[in-house]
Amino acid sequence: MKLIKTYLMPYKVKMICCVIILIFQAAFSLAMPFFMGRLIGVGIQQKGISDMPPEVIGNNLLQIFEKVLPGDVFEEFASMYEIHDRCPEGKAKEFELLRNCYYLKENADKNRAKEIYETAVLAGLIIARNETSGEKIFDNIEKYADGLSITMLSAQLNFIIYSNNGNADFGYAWDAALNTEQALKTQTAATVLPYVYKDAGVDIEAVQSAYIAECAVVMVAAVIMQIVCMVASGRISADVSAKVQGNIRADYIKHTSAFSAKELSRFSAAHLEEVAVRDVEHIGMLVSYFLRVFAFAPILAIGGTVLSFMQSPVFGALILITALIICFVLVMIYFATIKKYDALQTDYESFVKRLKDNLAQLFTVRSNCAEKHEEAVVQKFSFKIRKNENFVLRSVYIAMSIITLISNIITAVLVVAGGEELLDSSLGIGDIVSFLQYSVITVSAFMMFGAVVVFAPRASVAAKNVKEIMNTPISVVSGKVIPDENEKWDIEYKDVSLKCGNVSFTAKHGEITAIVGTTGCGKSTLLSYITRYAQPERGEILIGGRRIEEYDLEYLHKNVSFAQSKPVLFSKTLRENLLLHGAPDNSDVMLDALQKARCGFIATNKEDLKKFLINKGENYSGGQKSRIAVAGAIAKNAKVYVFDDCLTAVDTETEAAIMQAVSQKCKDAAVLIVSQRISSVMNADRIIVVSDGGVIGEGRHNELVETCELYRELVELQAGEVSCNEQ
Amino acid sequence: MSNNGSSVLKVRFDTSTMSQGKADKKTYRALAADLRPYGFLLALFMMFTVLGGAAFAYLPKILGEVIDVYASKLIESVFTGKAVEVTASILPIIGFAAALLAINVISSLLQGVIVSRVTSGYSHRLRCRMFEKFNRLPASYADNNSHDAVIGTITENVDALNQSLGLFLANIIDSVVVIAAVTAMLFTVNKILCVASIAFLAVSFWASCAVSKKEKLSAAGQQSASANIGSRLGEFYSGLRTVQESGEMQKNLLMLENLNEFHAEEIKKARRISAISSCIGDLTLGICITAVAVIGALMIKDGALSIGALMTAVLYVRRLHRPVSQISVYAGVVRSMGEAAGRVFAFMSESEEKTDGEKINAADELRFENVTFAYPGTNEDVLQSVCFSIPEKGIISLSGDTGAGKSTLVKLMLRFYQPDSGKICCGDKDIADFELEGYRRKFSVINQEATLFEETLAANIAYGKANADMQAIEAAARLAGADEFISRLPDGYNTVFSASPQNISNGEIQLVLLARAFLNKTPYVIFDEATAYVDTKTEIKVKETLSELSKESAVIIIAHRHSTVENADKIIRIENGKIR
Repeated sequence: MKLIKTYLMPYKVKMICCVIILIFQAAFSLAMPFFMGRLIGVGIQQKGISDMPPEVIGNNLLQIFEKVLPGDVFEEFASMYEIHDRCPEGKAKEFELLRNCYYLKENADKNRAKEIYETAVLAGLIIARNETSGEKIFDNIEKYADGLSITMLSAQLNFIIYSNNGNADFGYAWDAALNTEQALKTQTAATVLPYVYKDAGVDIEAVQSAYIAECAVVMVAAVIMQIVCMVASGRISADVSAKVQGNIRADYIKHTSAFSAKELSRFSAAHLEEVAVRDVEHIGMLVSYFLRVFAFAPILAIGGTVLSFMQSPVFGALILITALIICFVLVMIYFATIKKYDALQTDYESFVKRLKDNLAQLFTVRSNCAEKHEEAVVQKFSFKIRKNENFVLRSVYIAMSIITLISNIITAVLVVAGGEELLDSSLGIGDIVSFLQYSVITVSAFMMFGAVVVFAPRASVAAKNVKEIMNTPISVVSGKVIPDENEKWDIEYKDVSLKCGNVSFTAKHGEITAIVGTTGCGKSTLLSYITRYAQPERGEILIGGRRIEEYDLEYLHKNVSFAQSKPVLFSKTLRENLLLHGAPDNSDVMLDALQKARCGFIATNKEDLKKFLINKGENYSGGQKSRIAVAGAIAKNAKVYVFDDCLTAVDTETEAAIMQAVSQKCKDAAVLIVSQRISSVMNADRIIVVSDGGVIGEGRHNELVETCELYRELVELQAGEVSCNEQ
Repeated sequence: MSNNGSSVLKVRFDTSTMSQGKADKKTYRALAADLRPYGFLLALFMMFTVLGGAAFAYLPKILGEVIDVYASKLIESVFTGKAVEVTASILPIIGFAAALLAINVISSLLQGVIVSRVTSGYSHRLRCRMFEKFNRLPASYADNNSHDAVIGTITENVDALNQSLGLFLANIIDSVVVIAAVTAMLFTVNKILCVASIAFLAVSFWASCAVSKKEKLSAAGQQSASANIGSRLGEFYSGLRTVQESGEMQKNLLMLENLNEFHAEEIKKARRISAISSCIGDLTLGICITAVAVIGALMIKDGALSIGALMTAVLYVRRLHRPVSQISVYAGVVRSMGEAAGRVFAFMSESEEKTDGEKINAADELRFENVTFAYPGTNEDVLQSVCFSIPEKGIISLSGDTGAGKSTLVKLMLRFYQPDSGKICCGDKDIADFELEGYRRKFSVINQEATLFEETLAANIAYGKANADMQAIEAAARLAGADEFISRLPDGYNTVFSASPQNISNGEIQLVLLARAFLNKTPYVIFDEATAYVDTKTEIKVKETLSELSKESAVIIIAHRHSTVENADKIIRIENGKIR
């Protein structure tokens, strides 16, 4: 993760912008349920009226209050309102048509007015419930479900007072109302408010419709703002993640391009490729997810939880606990699957590898009648994939089911618990509507982390792979020396360690130096030191009198032409292949080299250079592939030419002809040859015979035949071919 | 239910060069028939989907009812001032809800288990069957198609089918059931709201379809850029040393850098579009909920709806949203499933090579009679009216320049190809009439490619001979001179060969290959430049073994033009496809 952080640093500003946008996005998406709560709570329950205390009251209510309130309190309340026959300036539009109503004064103490109003309304209701004289007012609740008539209430009170001979004492109701919980008072007052306005003559229907319309507009606006934020954050995340991915890959390629034998023995080419292509892409996706989802989810979750807490700590806690349980489930699944993901990847790689082997070695498989065996092997790999894939998929499904269950449970709990709170009047129905949706949003925010379950294991494996490779130190470090162009190079091996022994010899420029010896004694390794592909454990190699480590690596590579024993061709044109084997970009030089390397089978004119080698030249035989590679090596303008057993698959006569061309072309350069065949080295200026123990003979062919026993043996064994070549 | 699990395995190989799959009725029917072994599981799956979907759809209605109970009690309590007991009246409802929840969760769990089992199991079966099919295809199939494309056919198509089948089952079928159930429930709650929300969701569906089309286009661009940089990087790493030693690293790095930048640009475009497309769903959901809430509120005002019913409707819209958007996003899933299946079935119906025939009894003289041959897809005759015979015993030297057609002769002998004209006879019978495996088992072939399989050395020696015992293996290794180096290895015969990094030298590999040829004595032994990497001393020893073998078998030694083979009983020279 540190790796990703480093690559994210340059985009700090963009990311901060993104987070800010996400905060807004969360705010807007939480605004939606909030306004929906208002729509139901105020718009439906309170008929769209949310003023408190009432801005306007009618004569009937004032008469009720006069009877219910203690004298001094009533005086205080009445002094806050003043009567106007027409609606005064600055009041709401819906009051325009009212006549002879009492309006709340601008300078009135609104809190006090609210307090008195709420208590008074409750007291009025208590009286209405308790007085037994005449018909019980609230006998039949059905009557009042449709609406409460303040006028009727007022008349009822008058009747009670009348039947008590004009001196009824309602003090008990006032006291009871004073001692009632505030929440119940508020709720009751709010419920009664629309009837108060109706009594004053306000067109409640119109007010309600206007309020609903207003809510609709605000909700749509919130949705649109939310979408605007989403598009903006999505854009930033796309840009940043693509950039980060590109940068990581660029650095990765640069770093790995300097890998040599030591690093390549740790990481196979297939693995390097897989990591560069898949894993880097996964990191890019992680970044994009991070900016769009992983950063957003906590903001949304925190926002939702805080809003719930503000309205009811109990509900807030409930939502929080649910969220934590979901997180726990996700983490469990994460740890359960991460190993299997890793295994799945490996299984898949081995499966594909085996398929590749089967195609490459089709001849071997079929000529050995090993189809059944291969089928068994492939089936084994495939079955492993099946097992791990099944496990991973199943875990994801199970996690999803559990999370759905939990979120359903929390919804049910919220409805029931919310209902109880509703009855206690500590919550309005609008609050419950908001809650239900907060819970849905908060839970879904945590569910977004569900993507982690699917995504994080793979991404963390990816990051681990990339990091492992990027942190591998480069064993071959370039030196600084770029010598004079005309300098001639001798190559001197000084006590360079071989399998069991040391080797010292010099390959002079203008000479051909050949190395012969037994299989597996390390001849190829000796040669690979020249391009610094590998490094000797002990001893040193001097080129042109300088230690090889001192040279600028690219300069060294440009001036050493190396033909490998197993040539690599690319699925590119012949021309590009030659370029990749060191040839200069010149058609004539290329054609000349192709002719020298006896590549008439593929190219005779310039048009042929455009030929495309499909499947990395797999349709050509080993000998043909070698000759293409050798053509590239011959074409190169170098100070040192190295031919590492590269013509074994070519017949002796062709090899001799090619070597003839080499000795002409490379007159001024140092030429090193490793070969199994005496025929191809016998004309060398210097032959070095090595065995496991070190150099056991050095000299020309004729001398060695006399002095070196191993050499003489080799010559005798290959007598037929040598004589054939000498003809 | 969301399915992203199978996206672990993504496009690796560009299969664009392979035959296009057709997503027609026949393909779907074939796919259905192919899935028959999973019929029982799939039936169970459908059952759970319907059960779970019904339970899922019924829940919000219950919640709405509960809300209504509370809302009505609220008014009662405000106006009467009495505490109202509701628990008793809602307990049965809650119990019912709990039961539905249980049904829902159990069904969705089992759905998941079945889907993952079916998809991973079916993919496994397909992979194996396709590989078996590949083994029955003629060798020319591998020549005519790029290796990456063949591997892609087996891996990509199965993955694509796996993914789309998973999505089809877990998302599409599930979504269709949920939509049907929820819509029906919504209809029972309120007809107007139902129509309104369906109208809005239809708009959402249409918009998502439009965007996902665009998304697909940009995804295609991104994918081809991915495949491009992927194959370039593959070559770059497998030929890293060559590139380094060419001295042109900077140029190559620059080229890769450009490709990488282009790829990043494509990815940026694709991600931007997918960011927009994911907004469309939220936009229409938000507007749809607003619309339902407002219409519902107006209806409540007129007394035509209860608050609980409105809440139910809102919950329904939320529940409808995901399946609807899933169906639109995965509208292409069915098609891509059909295409992948089409490609799989097309591969499965490629014509196979003939393997059955008469059992071969004893080996006899092999005769090429006027054999003319050109590789399929080329006009150039590699062999022109070739006539020669190989006796039952003795050393036969087959020499000629590179590209003269020596290896082609071997391939024809082993029936990798059929001659265009003329025939090859064993005794008096055409070899094409023999049962293939029995015929091929009469041969031991070693070619110049020095490579082994990533198995133990013992398994490599006994390759293709399942019942070889350890003693025979060691005896063969001794005969080939491989015993010496193998016994020096720490794990001996159980050493597992590794190609990168290579743990066994080329020369040693050839010794193992020799041992493979010596394991069973076969009537025909073919050596195709098989000792190139072996040192001369070992070669001499091998030659001795060969002359020993030639007393009972025909030993065919393939060599270059002027190389002579000592003691050859018969020398055949081939030049430009003709016998000299």
